[in-house]
Amino acid sequence: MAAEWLGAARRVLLVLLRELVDGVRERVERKVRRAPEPRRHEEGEGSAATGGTTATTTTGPSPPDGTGANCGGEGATAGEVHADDGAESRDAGAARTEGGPNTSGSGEVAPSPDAAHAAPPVPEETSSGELPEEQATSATPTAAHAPASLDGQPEPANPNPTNATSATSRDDGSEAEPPVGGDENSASISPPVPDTRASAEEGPGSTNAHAKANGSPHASPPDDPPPSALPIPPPGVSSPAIAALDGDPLVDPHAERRPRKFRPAKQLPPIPRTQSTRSTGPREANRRAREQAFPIDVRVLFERGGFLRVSLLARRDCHVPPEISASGVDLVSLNDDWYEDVLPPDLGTLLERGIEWSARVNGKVVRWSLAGREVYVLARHNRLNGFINAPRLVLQEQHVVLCSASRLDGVERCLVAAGCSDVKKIDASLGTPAGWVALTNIVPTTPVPQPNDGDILDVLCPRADVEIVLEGGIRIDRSSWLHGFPPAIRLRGDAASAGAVHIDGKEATCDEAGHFTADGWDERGEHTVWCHGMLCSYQIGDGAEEWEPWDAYVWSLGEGDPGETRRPGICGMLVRPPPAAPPGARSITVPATNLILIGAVPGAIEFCSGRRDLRASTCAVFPPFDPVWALPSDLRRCDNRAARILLLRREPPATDAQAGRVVDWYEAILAASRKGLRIEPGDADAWSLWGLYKEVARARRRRRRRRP
Amino acid sequence: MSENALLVWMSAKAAGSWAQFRAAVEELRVGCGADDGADDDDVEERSFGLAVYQLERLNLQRLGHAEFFAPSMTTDWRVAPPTLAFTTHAAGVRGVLAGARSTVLLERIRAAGGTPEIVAAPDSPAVIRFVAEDETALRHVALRAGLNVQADAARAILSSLPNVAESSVRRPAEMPFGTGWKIDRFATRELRWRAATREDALMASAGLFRFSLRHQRHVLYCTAGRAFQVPVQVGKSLVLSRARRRRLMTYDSETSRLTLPAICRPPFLIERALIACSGLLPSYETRAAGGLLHYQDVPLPVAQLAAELLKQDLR
Repeated sequence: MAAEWLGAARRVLLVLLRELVDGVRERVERKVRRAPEPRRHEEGEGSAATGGTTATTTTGPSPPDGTGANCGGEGATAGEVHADDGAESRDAGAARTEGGPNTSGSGEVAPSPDAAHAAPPVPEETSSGELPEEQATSATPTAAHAPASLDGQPEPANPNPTNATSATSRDDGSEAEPPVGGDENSASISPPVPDTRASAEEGPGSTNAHAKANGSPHASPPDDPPPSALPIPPPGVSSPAIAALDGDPLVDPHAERRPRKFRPAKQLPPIPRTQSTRSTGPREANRRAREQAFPIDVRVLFERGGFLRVSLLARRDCHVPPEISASGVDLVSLNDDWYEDVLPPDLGTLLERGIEWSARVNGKVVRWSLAGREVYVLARHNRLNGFINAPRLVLQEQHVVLCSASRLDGVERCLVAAGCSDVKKIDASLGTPAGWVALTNIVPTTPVPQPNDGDILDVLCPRADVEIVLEGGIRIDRSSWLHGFPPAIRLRGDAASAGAVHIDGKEATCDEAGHFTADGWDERGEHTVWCHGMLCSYQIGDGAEEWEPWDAYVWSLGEGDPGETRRPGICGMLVRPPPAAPPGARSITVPATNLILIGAVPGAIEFCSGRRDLRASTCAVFPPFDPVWALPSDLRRCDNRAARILLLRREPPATDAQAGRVVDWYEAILAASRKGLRIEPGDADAWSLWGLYKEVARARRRRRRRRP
Repeated sequence: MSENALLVWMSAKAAGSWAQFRAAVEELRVGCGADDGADDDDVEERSFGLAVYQLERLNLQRLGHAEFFAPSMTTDWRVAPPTLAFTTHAAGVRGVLAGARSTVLLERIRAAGGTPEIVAAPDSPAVIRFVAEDETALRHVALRAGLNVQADAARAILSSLPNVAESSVRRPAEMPFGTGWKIDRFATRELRWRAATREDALMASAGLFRFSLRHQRHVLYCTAGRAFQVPVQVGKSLVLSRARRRRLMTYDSETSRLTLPAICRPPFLIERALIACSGLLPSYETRAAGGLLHYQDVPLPVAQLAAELLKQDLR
């Protein structure tokens, strides 16, 4: 009996244990299925030591005994997984190096795989050289880079009021008023979140488990234990790895990241991509999006007196709030794509060391990043004032170079090699950050082969390539310019080797300023520009030519609408009749003493009321007709010596027509006449005209009296 | 040219968002310091730290070219209809063109027989104005060119505005609480902002207080323990009036020039009426004790009416 009980208990225990193991295995497999497709062994191995991308900060604490093998494997497999990411970024980086149009925003470019195999593995995120604005300034994709903010689409209520409130008070009193704003945090966020969770989930042996489970041909690294050796923790003991598999991140994603160092992108041909080397699924795109940070641009603005101002411009998009505090730095929106300039006091140090800012928005982390470097190349930007950091020098374009004092000699040598003459230097006494020198008047004229040694001076090697640029004019839409204000078409780069430029199929001529034109290039309609295998299109169109007035302010000094209907409205310089005024009312000003208005048509009379709160000599009134005379407001009690009948318009009375209050009309005229008031102006024509009105008034009164 | 281009762009778009406006300011290189060759003497506004797009917005509002963040609007800005605003001076009638501007419109004006005087001005679009002996000729041009007409614009605008003491221009508000707020009080004697405390605001019989925290700013008129949200320029005029500092505005009859301390700049709608007289933004004069603003060609009745609205006595 006891043996039977023991057997039954043993069986129950085994069932429970098996269920537990199955549950754990199922969870492991589920996590593994979510992981990216495993890479080839050699790629993973080659970059295992790399540490992968920024998401690889997820090496958690050592698991307890029993999982030691996976601990070792953890590092390898984690490295392998993240090496996949590194391979991804390397591929992408190679594409960016070639100037392809598919650069993403983070600039996390790594050397090509060839370079990785040939040379020791380089750290993550080698360069932000190929910034998206390089593509944005190119004319090649007509719509891809154009700012959404100028597309003519009215945007929702802009919660961007407090740029005005951040203005400095100044003694001319013109503190900008905070406009009415909306909900500041109404936008949802698409977070560029470091995928630490994904990395944590891809715990020890996960990739191999997936590979084995799915019969993947990819060989697992020899150090990885077979999945069957996956440790099964005893019940009640939670392994950190399993805790990680449950989704709890082992590292706080909001932890401050160390700034990264800049590495110039290398000019190497792209490698052909195979399905196994690149995952194009949406999960991969999402994972990459989560890992990427918004770039921080550097701006140089020249001010009066030869001073220059160096500032930082953090990027943004529509998913990030217009006002946000990131790592103690207040960011206020400049437009849809950038925040306002930030001028930190230790800017020189930050430029060299790099910057990492982060903020938590709706529970997700948003990052901004600038790779530190000793040399910055800045160029004109088609959407921002001043000079903005650019990947490298471009032939025949004006640049500014910021360099640390220690690299000045090398920079100057490179500029000479690039054909820059008459370079001017600006030091800290004129606004350059301490320890830095700004070199201006830089226009490279000679292409220089890039040594590809990864030195920062590579950015001072202008390439012998060319692109079509549309600049200037007045742009009213993504690629539409206002008729009469067309863009200037020119080539950027090695224009001499570009060959002919064709506009709308016709060969264009180039003027002294380097601008290309052809017949009809600035006429209304669609146009195309072709040069050297590149195609660009633009449109010329009309803007609005009808502008309707509206009541912008009613009884207001600029604040909210009090809801008055009896007060006039103001729109620009126009004063509009009150909403409650009769149709056809129009605005005139009359002396506050003469508020009875008489029109040419018998019955056209308006008794206006003045303002009692003002000792004003005039009054704005809104009669529904064009008044001819303005009579004193109180005809019975007015002083004959001072009161006047004012002539506003010289128009004879209408004898046949009739409107409204005929009795009031003729009574007022006759009462004014009986008072013997003088007319102003007192010329003979005015008196004669007044006589006509009196005659008509008398005739109307006689006619009325004859009625039964 | 940049400000002209900005106005042309705004006219072509007719209305838009604040972000679009700022992007256009950037893209059209408006207000570029060293690039546009503007006179170094015209730096007072930029040197006081306001961003370029805020300066441009304020100037466009003052000149009546566009409205920004008006209560009745669904967009952040909207260009005003083209209007010929008349003002009668001793030498005749002057008409200032305000509002939307396009090449087509300017061609229509020329075709209508209008020969305007075009005056380049710093930090604003070029001033286009007409001079005639009486209104009739200008009305004729406006009618043929399809322009709106506003006779006696300055007085009409001023007559349509409440005075600063009107209760409708301020709204009850809650005083910000919590730590971190920087509080300043507008000192009516010194005409500047001085540090203050929340208790000062609660105890004030009539004071203007500014609460600042990072990018937030609230200007409150505090009286008898209550707080009211009020436009800052309105608030200054109100507390100056309450403090019996009423002789800040001076008028020169010979030059028809109205002068007042720059820190006491009028609310922008009152300022718009003053600017309508000449079409020009006020000039700024630097003084040791704070700058002065000079409004040109302002007829005396207009100056008197403006003083009435600001609860000031005209000297």
